Amino acid sequence: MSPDKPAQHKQDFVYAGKTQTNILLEIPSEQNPYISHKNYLQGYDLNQLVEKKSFTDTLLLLFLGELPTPAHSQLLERLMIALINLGPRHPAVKASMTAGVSKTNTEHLLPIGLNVLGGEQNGALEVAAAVNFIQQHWQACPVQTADEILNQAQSVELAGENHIIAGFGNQYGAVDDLCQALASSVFNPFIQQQSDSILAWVLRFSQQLNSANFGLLKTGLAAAVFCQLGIAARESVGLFQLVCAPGIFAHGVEQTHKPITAMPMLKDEQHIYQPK
Amino acid sequence: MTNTEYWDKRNQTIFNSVGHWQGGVDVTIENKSLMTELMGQVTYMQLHILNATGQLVAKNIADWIEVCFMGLSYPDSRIWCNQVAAYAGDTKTSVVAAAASAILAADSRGYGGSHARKMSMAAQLLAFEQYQQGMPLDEIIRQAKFKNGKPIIVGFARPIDRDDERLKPFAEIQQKLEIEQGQYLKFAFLLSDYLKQHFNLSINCGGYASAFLLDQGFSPDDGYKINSFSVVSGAIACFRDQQAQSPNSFLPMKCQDIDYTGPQPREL
Repeated sequence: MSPDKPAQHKQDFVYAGKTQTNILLEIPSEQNPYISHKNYLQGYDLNQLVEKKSFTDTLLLLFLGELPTPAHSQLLERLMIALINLGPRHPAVKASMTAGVSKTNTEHLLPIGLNVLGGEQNGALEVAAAVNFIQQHWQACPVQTADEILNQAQSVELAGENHIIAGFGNQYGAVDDLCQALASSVFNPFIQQQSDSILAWVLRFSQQLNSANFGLLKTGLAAAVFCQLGIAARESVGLFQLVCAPGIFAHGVEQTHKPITAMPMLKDEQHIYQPK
Repeated sequence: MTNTEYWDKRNQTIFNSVGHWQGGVDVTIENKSLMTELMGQVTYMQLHILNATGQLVAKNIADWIEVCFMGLSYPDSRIWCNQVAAYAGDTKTSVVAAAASAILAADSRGYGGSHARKMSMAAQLLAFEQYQQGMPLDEIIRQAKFKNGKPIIVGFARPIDRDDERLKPFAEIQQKLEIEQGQYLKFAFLLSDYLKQHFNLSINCGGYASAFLLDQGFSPDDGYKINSFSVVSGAIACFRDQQAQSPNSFLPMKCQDIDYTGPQPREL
């Protein structure tokens, strides 16, 4: 410290006296201040939500602060069905299954799968990046945007799967046909009501990519819906994990009922060591 | 028809460049025999660094990094990752869930020595390169984000109000282990002196460790891998402390201990 300056207090971080939240108000019992007598979620009585609202209504209320329109609620519900089970070949599901068959504690199966689902490739971080991409581009021409990305991608030769932009690319070298079909089922009722929507832009953008053997990926499908619903990139991370969680756990716990030999263990010759 | 050759080659086959287990015979790790060249010959920390980076470092380097780990994990349940482990103790999870949760909690851009180590090493690497190219320190600092008039540089501030007690042993043990101060550590102290003079900030143990790892030739990504579980020990202690206690006994909160700032009760 320079000698002409007065000594400063070293505390550069001032911590709050209380944790703050906008989400839940707990009214304490008169008999015990640790017991909650009544809960209000974003201002609504939780009991009334239980009686009058759906799970998807309440989920969107939780994250957005307001109850959704019926169209928004239906859109999320359709996404949740579309992604309820990524299938036993997705790395996150395989991780949970591998743990399940190897007798990992049951309570770890879902966290294990969700950790793997957190990644930048086919995972939640790709969803967040796709949300950012869509938010930044959806007001531009989808065809022109796709063409520009394809032109840039031509110069890069990548072995294996190529996601030319977060949420869009090929799966095992080809367009993900199932994802394109799911997108139609998830998006169409909404697009019929609102033709200039983000979802319509994403469909048109994906179609343009199809000509180059790229298209919408499941991470992009989720990102498109989240953008349409007004869910921000950081929130999209956990919501994607939440939406995909049922299939991860279902496949993982299924394997726990089987012997440890019920899944393949590769032989020595199937593990090829090639030191650098 | 799509050309699936890339995936066909890997279907039911793993290609691995780090090691191989030959059941009943030996294990190869980075071309070294675990049974005859590593067990009994190297420390656990040397082996961990070999697995994490592919480099077998000298024992004194691994010993210093082990000392650094000791400084990254205290048995104090106030620290964020330890608090997480204590909550796990409160709900009586398995110890492994507590340990894994604490490691994940410390995978943070704010503290913890894993993700933060990568960020800190990357920042120091860039600053050092710029300094080498002739950029003055004030200009290097100006590029950082500022908060409350102070630059935010990981490794050069600690989010509590005391001196960093680890710096002295870090330096003394480095000397005792006969590890020379390299160019990155010298630069880190130069940067620290500048920050102290102008912003009342100085190097903390993370900044020191980052410079040390750079001096050993590790990349920021290597640092992330080496330090990936560095908080685990203290977290397990905090779990152990809480595990035997009754439910909801770790930092219990009254309803009104939470400051609700959302919408007031409204009709559905």
